[in-house]
Amino acid sequence: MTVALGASAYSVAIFHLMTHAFFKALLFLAAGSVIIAMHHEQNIWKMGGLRKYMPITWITFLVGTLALVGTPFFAGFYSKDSILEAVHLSQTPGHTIAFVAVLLGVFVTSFYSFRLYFVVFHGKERFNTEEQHDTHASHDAHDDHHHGGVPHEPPAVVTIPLILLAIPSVIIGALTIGPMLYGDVFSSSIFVNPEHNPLHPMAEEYHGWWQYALHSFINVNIPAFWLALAGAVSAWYMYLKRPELPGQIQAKFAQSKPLAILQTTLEQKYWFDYINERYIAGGGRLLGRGLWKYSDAGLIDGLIVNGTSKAIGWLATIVRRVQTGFLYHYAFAMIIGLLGLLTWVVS
Amino acid sequence: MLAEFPFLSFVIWTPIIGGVAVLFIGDDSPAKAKRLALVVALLTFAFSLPLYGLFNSTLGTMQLQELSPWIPTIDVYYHLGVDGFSMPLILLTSFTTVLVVIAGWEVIQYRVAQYMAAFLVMEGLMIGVFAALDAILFYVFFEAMLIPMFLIIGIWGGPRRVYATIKFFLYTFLGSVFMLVALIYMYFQAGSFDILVFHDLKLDMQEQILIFLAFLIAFAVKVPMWPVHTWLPDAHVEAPTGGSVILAAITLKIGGYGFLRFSLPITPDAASYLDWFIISLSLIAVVYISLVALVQQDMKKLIAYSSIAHMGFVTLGFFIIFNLAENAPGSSGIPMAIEGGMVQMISHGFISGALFLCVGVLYDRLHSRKISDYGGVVNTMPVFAAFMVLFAMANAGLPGTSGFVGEFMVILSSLQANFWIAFLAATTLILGASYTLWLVKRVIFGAVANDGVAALKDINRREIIMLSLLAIMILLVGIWPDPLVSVMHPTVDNLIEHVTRSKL
Repeated sequence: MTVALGASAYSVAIFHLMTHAFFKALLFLAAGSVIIAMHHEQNIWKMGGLRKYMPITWITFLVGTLALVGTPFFAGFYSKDSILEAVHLSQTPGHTIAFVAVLLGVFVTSFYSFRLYFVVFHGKERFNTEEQHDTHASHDAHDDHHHGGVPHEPPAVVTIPLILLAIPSVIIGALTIGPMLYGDVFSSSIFVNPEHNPLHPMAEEYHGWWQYALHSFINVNIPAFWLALAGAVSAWYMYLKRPELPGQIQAKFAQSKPLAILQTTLEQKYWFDYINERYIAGGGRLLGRGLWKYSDAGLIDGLIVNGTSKAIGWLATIVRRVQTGFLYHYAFAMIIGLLGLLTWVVS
Repeated sequence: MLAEFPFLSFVIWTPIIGGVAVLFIGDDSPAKAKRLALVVALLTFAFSLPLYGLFNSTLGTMQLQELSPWIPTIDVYYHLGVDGFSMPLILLTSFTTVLVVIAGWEVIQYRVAQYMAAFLVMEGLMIGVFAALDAILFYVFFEAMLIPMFLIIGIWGGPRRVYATIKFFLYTFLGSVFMLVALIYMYFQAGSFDILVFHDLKLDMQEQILIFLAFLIAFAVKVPMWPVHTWLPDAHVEAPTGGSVILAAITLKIGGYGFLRFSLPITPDAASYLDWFIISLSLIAVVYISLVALVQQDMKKLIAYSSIAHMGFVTLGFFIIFNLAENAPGSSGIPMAIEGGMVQMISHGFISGALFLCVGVLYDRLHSRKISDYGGVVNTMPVFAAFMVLFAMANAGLPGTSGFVGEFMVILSSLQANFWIAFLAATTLILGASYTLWLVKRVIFGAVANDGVAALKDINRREIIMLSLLAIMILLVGIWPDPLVSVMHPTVDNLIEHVTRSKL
């Protein structure tokens, strides 16, 4: 979306925002459905082969994935492909880097999406039904439909929204690309300098949603479909066909120093969280504690406020000595005072 | 005819006489004393509501005035009146007192009648401070207010209550002595103790600066401003819940109100000359005190420090206007800064009151204010947790709550004056969110921390009513602040006219 904004293709950005809303919501809800079926287990390595047990979630999740990676005719295809085309046609500085990055993104998106899909819904069943049954049944026996051994489809309150979101995830792009990008929907709200507007050349080549999708198979400039396919196939090969492969690659990475550093950097998220937690949050706490202990409690309260009261107390202990209670002391002081006063007045 | 009725006298004296009556019922029948106290508080609230209705919000002058001689030999009059600043604060006072009476209903078992009476008398005196237009009358109410609060903390307070009360008393008393000297000096200049006469008094620069500083000492302690703030955390920690609520919701506002009623209109040239000083103290309050709040381990102390930081916005809003008047005369930021400060005062009255009531709810159950003694409260007290999260969001200044409106208005007008002042003020959005959300995270969320938390009972109907009333007010002011802001407009214009006209 932000790429589309950078290419001055504002209507495309909003179009993608809209299609994305449908399939991303679908994927999150389908993931939720899986998590319910797995008794709040979110680790995908403790799933696998779920398509047999929860067909509705399986199919809708697949639809969402296909839409996400930009399979022709699906909702995500129309918006993603329009973005790619807009960047391709854009003359903004750096558009080539953006274009390459977005194309690479198509491959990576497809790879990780299908990895998730294959690991969760295909392959070996890695969940332990017995253990699930034991731990939950013991303290919650009457609620056994929720804590059964074999995973199963959650109730309609979960599946109906999935179905309702799966339908637009397929058709919303084909339905709205015409009016939203080349029609009048934004004609009174979005204005782009005609020289920078990539939608003008795009409109010349647009001949309806059917042609647009067909063209993607043979588009040499933007091989997005083939990259997505390559991503899906490599995910299939690495996680279903030869599941030992990722581990071997990782072991190779660990042997080479620069690659290992790269891996740690990525795993640590460039240490952003670490810096934030350690230095920004920790620094704030340290500063706060310092100000509190030394300035507030030490200087203001300790020295100035309580110091004043201590000073008065100290002064009082000295002055108090004058009050001896002996009459002759007072009388003597009076005489001395009188003498002093007289001398002062007379001279 | 209705406007002739002495409403202001009624809202001042109903709670005071009612409080004395509650005192006479005594501790023999605490149930009767509680009921009478509630009736008196509700009656006072009912008397205060017509103030809003009768108030002509197109006028910036004093309204509903009452005037009769009190001590004629020194020209002291019983002179009352309200404008757009004092009227909302009087309503806040009568509203909060009702809540405080409800809050103490089952919780206070020791000397119930005296407890209730102290709060009712306190209410009358605080309203008196807001309504007084005679300097001596103001001073009497201002000082008399210390007595019930001294007793509330000293009798129903925590283990270190004696230290806290003495500190509270001496701090505030020291401040107000200087104010008395300034008032007497002005009496000799003007031949009257009328505050409105003081507003038109000509004073040279040296006089103005000395009078300004005398007022500053008195009001800075009340607000409180850094570095004379250290009485507040101690007083809050030791005070019973009701005492904390009144302290945070009303008495702090008397400091802010004092700036509007005395410092700005009487000594505008000195205020303009020394505005950088107040702005610096306000920004220190915002940044330094927020950081200190972050590391508190006691819930009440955390909220007390957060109060100081939030009150920094009030003084910032009141004193940024001089910078604006110099650099951008006639800009919309000038009235907005003062209105922002006022909205922040009212809003903080609701929010800090609500948070102290929340801490009170937890303290009544587990008898601890330490954050580390809690955790996972949402599991056992879901309804309470919902309220507490709402109030925390309001404290962090989330849009849609009253906490946002005042802060935003002040930041917006500071931005017109100076980018860096606005920048430092805006750090409160991050720091405020940090300390409040971290508090909520540690107290409300997470796993159930201990057996005490596991055995907690959710809030009862009395507590739900009390917290709901505040939640409604916080959302109302947050979503639709206009009924509050519009009554102030002419008063603010009137004040700005006074402030921008030199008194030299």
